[in-house]
Amino acid sequence: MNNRLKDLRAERGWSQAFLAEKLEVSRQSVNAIETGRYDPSLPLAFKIAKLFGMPIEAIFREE
Amino acid sequence: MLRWWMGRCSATPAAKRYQRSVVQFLVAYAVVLLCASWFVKHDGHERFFLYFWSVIPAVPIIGIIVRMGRYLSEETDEFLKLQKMHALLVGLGALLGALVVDDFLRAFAHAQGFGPFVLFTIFAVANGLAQLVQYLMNRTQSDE
Repeated sequence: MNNRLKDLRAERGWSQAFLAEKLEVSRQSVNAIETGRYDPSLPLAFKIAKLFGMPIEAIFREE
Repeated sequence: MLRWWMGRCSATPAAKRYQRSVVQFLVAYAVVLLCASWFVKHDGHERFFLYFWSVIPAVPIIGIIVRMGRYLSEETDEFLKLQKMHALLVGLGALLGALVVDDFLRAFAHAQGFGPFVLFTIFAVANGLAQLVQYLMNRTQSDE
């Protein structure tokens, strides 16, 4: 699955650590999602979408 | 050094609690192992005490295994939980592989098989290596 998490984070000038804190996950998790090594669960994907104020499909896309 | 490693590995509260418990269990293991070795050497002639001191050092190790299970149920970070489970599976895979080889060596070649503590060491080394690879991969793929 592809995602725009890194771009969206960069647009807001957030660090991985800051985003991780907002999502209540570890920085390693944010990094793994951004680099495509890990696809988040549905609850975490919803949390990410809510944080950025976008629908899930605008952030995560099928490869 | 230990503090640095614990800080680098993970920062979740569940992981910190788990790491603290593991250190406590390892200290207990070292103390119990020393006591057991001393008693077996100096006062280990009675059968009951031989069995007692043989089983006692396993208790802290079993404690670590139980604590590992508790950590997995407490960990709320799904990625770290998945990584921990992967590392455990690598360790268990190595352990079961070695166990099968050991069984066939005993059954067919009537060999003595692996010595004491070898199998658990295989599990611990494989599990540790898997965690090291994960740590290095997390580091190399990090862009910050």
